[in-house]
Amino acid sequence: MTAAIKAVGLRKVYGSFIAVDDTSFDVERGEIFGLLGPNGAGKTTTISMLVGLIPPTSGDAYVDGHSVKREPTEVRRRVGLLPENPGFYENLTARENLMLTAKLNDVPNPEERIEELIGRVGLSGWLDVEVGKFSRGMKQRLGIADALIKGPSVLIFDEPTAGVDPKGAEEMLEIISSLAKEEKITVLMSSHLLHQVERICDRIAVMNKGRIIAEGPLERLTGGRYILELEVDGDLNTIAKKLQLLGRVRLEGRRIVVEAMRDMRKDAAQIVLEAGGIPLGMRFRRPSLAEIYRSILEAEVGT
Amino acid sequence: MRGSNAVLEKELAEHFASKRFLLMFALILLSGAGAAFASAQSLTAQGLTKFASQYLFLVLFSGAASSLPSYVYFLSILAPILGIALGFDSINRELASGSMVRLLSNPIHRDSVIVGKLAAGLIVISVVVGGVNAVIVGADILLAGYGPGLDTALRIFYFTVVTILYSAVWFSLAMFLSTVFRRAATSALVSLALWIFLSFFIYPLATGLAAVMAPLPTYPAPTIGQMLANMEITRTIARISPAVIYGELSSVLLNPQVRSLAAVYVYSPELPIPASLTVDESLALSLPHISALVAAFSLFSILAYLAFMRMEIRARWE
Ligand SMILES: Nc1ncnc2c1ncn2[C@@H]1O[C@H](COP(=O)(O)OP(=O)(O)OP(=O)(O)O)[C@@H](O)[C@H]1O
Ligand SMILES: [Mg+2]
Repeated sequence: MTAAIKAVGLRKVYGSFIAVDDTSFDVERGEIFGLLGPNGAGKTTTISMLVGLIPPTSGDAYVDGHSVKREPTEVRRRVGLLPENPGFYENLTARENLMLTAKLNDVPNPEERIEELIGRVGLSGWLDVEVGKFSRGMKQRLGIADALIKGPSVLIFDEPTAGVDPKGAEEMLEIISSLAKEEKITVLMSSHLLHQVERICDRIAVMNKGRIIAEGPLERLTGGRYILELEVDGDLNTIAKKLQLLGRVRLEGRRIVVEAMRDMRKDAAQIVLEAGGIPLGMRFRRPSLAEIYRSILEAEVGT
Repeated sequence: MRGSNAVLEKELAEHFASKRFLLMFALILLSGAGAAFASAQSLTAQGLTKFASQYLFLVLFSGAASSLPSYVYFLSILAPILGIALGFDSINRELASGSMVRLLSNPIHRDSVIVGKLAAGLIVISVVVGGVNAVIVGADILLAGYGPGLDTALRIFYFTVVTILYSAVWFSLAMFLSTVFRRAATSALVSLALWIFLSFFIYPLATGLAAVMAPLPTYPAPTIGQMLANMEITRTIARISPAVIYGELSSVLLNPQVRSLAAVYVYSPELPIPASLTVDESLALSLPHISALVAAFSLFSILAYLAFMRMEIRARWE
C-alpha cells in the first residue's frame, strides 16, 4: 500500500536562496504528522508544493499515489487544505463561502453536508452571518469545515492554532485528532507550538533552513535522552560547572537541569556532594519535545 | 467549465453586493437622467419637442442639446472608471487575503478562475450600461412623447454594445495590472494614470508629434496636402488610445450625418449636401474601430491569463 503523502526530493529555490532543500518524507494513512520548525524554515513552502500551489524547482510529491506535478487536479480532489490564513470572502456569509467550495468539488447534497460540518466545528447558528464578523478562532474552525467539505482522504493544516485562544486551540486539536482516529483521515500539520504537536502527533519532522533535520515518532526523537532536575543547597554556580562533565547543564531558578545521553543519577549525586552541596530533591525524566527541539536546533547551529 | 461557473457565481455575488457597484450604477444613472432632462428642457425652449424627428430623439438620448456636458461625455468618463473599478484588485486582493490559496486548493484548473472573473466583469458591465441606457431611453420617450424608430433604436443599441466593449477594455487592462502588481493601490493608480494619459493627454501628444513629423509652415501658408498629411498623422497617433476610438465610434453611431472617419476637406464647393447615413452604413463605417476595441480587450485578457497562469500562489504574500 502506498503512503498517503510521499515527498520525494522536494526543492524550491528563489534566485540564490534555497527555501526548501531536498526534502523527502512519507506520511502513512491515518497518521497525524507534525511539521515543526522556526519561522522561515520552509514549512509553508513545502505545504504549498504538496498541493501544487507552487511548482517545485525539482522533486515531486504524491498523494495517494498521484503526482502533484502531473495530476494536480487529482491531488487537490483528495487533499483538504487549511492555509496559514484561510482567506474567506468577508462580505459573503459562511454558507455562501462553503457553498462555493462545495460547487468547486461537485459535492452531492451540499446543503446537508454544510449543515453537518458546521455543527461539527461548533459554529451552528453562524451559517448566515458574514465571515467578516467572525473572530480569528471562528475563522480557523470554519476553515476546518471548509477543508472537510470535499470529503478528503488527506488534510493539511498550516499552523491551525496560531492566534487562537487556549480553549479554542484545545477544541481544534480535539477535532483534528478525532478526524484522524475516527475517520482515518491522514493529517499533516505544521506548527511552532510544541506542546500541541506533542499531544496529538504520531510522528514529527523538524525542519530548519529548508531541510528536515530530525524525523520520527515522538518516542524515537525523545529516546536515548535523559533529563535530571536537581534541587541543591550550596553554591549553585560551582556545582553546575562541575556537573558539565555529565552533559549539557542549565540553571532554571534554584534548580539545576542536566541533560545527558545516559542515566547519570549516581554520578550527579556524587559530584554534588564532592562540591560541598546537599542534594535536596531529584527528578529524573524523559525530555519534552520542547527540550528535544531546542537541542536539535542548537546542534544544527553548532555544525 | 464547472470551476469557472462557480467562480462566476461567486464573483457576481461579490460585485452585486459591493458599494463600488452601487456607486457606479448611481453615478451613471444620475448623469444620464440629468443630461436627458437638461436636453429636453433646452429643446423645449427652442420649441422643438413637438417636432417628431428621429434625429432629435438621438440628440435627446445623447444629451447633446443642453449646455451641460452630454450623457455621451459622461459615459466616456464613467465607463472606463466602471471597468477599472471592477478589475483593478480582482487578482491581487484575493492573493493578499488568502482566498486565492483556498480557491486554488480545490480541484479546478487555474484557467477557470480567470475565465470566471472575466465573464463576471462583462456581465456586470453589461448590466450597468445596458440597464442605465434602457432607463434613459424610457425617460426620453416620456419626455419627447414619441419613441425611437428602428434605425434610431438600433443606433442606440449598437452604441450601448460599444460602450460595454469600451468599458470591458479598461476592465481587462485593470485586471491584467492586478496580476502584475501585488498591491491593489498600485494597480489602481497605474490603471487610472494610463486612463488619464490616453484620454486627456493623447491629443496634445499626437499634435506635438505630428508637428515634428509633418510640420506646417507658417509662411507661405500650408498647402491642403500638407494640412491633410498633418491631420492624418495626428489621427493615426491619437487612435492608439481606446478613448479616441470610442469617441469616434460614438459620433458615428449616434450622428447619422457623420460620413467618414478620415480627414475630409469640407470647404470644397463640389461637395454635395451631406445626406444622412442609414444605421447599416454607420455600422459598416464603425467596424474597423469596433474590431480595434475587441482586439484590445482580447490582448489584455490574454496577458492577464498568461501572467496569472505563471504566478506563484503563496499561502501568505509577504
Ligand atoms: N517568493 C519568494 N521569494 C523569495 N524568498 C521566498 C519567497 N517565498 C518564500 N521565501 C522564503 O522562503 C523561506 C521559507 O518560507 P516559508 O513561508 O515556507 O517558512 P515557514 O516555515 O512557513 O515560516 P513561518 O513559520 O513563518 O510560517 C523564507 O525565508 C521566505 O523568506
Ligand atoms: Mg508558514
